[in-house]
Amino acid sequence: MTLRKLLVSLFISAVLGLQLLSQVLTTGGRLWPFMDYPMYSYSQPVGARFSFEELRVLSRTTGPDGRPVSFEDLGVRAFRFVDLLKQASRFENQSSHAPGEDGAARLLSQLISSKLGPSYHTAQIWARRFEIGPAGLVNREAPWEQVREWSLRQDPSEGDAPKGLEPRPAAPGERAGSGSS
Amino acid sequence: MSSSSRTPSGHQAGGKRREYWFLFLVLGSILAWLVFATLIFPKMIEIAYSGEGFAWLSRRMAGRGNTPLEEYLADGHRVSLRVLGLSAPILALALLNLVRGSTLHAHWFKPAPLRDLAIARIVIVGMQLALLLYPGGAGACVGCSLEQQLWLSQADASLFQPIPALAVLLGPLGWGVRPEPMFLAAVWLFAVLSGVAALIGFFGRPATLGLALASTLLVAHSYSYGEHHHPEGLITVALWALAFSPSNRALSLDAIALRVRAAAEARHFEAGRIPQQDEYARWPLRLMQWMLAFTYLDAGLSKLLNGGLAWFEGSTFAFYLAHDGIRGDLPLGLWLSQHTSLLPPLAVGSAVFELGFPLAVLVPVLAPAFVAGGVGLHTGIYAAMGAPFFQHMALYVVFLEPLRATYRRFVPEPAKRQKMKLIFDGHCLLCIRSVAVLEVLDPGNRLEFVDLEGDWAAVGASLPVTQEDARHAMHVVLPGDQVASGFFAFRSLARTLPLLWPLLPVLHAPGAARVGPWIYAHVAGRRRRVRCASGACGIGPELEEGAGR
Repeated sequence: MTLRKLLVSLFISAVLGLQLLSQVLTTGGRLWPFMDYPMYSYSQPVGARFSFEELRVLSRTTGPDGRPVSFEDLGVRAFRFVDLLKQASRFENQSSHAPGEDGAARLLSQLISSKLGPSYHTAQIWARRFEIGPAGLVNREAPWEQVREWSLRQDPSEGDAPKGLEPRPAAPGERAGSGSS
Repeated sequence: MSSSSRTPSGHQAGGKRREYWFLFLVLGSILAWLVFATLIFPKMIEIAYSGEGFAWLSRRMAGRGNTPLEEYLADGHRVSLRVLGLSAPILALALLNLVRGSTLHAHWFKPAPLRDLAIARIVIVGMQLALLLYPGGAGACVGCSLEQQLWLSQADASLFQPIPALAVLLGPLGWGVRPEPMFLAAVWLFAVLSGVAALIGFFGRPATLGLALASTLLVAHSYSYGEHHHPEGLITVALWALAFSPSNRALSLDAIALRVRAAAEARHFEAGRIPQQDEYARWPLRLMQWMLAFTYLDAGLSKLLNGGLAWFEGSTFAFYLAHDGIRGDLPLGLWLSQHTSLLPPLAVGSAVFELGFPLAVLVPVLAPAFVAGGVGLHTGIYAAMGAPFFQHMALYVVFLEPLRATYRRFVPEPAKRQKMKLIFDGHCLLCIRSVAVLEVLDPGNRLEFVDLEGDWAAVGASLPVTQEDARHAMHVVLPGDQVASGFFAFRSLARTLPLLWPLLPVLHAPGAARVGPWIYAHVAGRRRRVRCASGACGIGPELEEGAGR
């Protein structure tokens, strides 16, 4: 075998080896561009639910509905923003209230303060909840509900227990914006 | 790896080589894995779970305080099954090689058409360039957008978590350093310029390498903010493979320049000297075929291992269709999510496609079916769920050889067409260079080249042109013995060669029939000849150093 073929063979082995390693160890994006591909791989039974969250901030000038905040406003990648909202709202995985979970709300508070300025005093997370029934999606026009509210003037984990875990339905005429990306 | 002689691991039978060592290696590895996964791995998990050893494994069990050991043992079992699933195509390759009398060496290094590799370069580089220039293309490559890069560079510093690929590429600037906006803008510009050069094959190898490097850096940077996607991974690997292969030796400016230089240095044009095949033209295509196969196989295995048979129930697809349909406001996804009876067949179809995709590599005759299935699958997923896997569809170009073979099965190659004869002055350097270019631009071999000085004695009598006329201008003899000369000869060539079609609007523009011959006569009258043995040196200024050669 020539040196050139040996080098090409090493390149092929390295590429395929890293690809297989990332798939066996399910490394996510850590070995990018070598990744595993587990998208949409978990089964979902009848009764499975999912939600879309929206972040709103309130100031003296925004009125009671507040101002919707997008991932772009906070300089956060879209999926990361969704993760932060889900963690902060504690809508999903309610059984796993691990210590320090409020880091998400704390980070959101910090980003709101640094990117939107100090004029906002309250943050809210609103959600639309959907469910899969025997015939598929059952509540296509699910309303927005408030699932959490916290003060931006203090640490979310210090004495400001999440409000609204009993969802507050949207008031008549209240805007029903699109889900956060 | 390959040899026609008998080797200790090979066995000649019926004129074909039997390669046993590869089969034994794969079988041995699978057996070793089975022993390890059954007897040793569960013990390792138990020890790591108790915190008494295997710290690296313990670290992967971050939540073991709240999770029973059985779940980790089940995870280990899934890893074991995944390894066996991923080994299956390799074992199949070893068995098929044995049956076909083929070898692993031939699988990767059997000479392949350079043109196929060049077409793959054009398609893959073209796709990446399009994503760089039009990143709004449904979010298929978020990291390709300059706007997105600049926006990310302004994100809060606490969100920046460099992935290893970025840390390695920026290593010379400091480990884990965060790139500045100006640097990212320069890299993006470099990627675009490299992409254009790689597309046309101008300094092709460094250009393709530059595109691969810059694209990797940009996407890796965009993935360093806690989010990653799947469409960009394979095309990035493909760019690197193209950069290290002879992908610019055909259909490129480099190929034209090489051919012209060789003809000019020899001061002689001889047709048919362009290499058509190369033993290094197969491996990049094969590598990407396997990368596609393993990624699809992984997607299919994940569904079986994570979802089980329940994954095939309508509620699973309804869930994902509804989720993505609502998020992207996609009517097709929402409609399908409310028609669960349609969904189990779709689920079965997609799993069969993913799990079976290695067959596209192992049994080439099946490749067209999988390519067609893949285009349908990705188009459907995009329409119903908004997930843009355009890069994967572009990568199907690596199956060009089996696709062409299947096409030829149904549409036989037409009977040999009569070639167009191009009569050129073999004593004129400009003419030699021109026909060298035309030969590269004629991959379909539509032209037959006649050197009026070298070939006239053999074929001149059969041509409807006199040698003296041919000395004054390039002539082409079309099928049916129609003759065109000068500018009109070039216009006929442009109509015949698809790679010259972009020039047709100019060549047929109003007034072109008047201006064209004037320009042609102006250039032809000043061309220089390198030999005067025929006594025809009176046309244009002579090249003294070449006179009489």
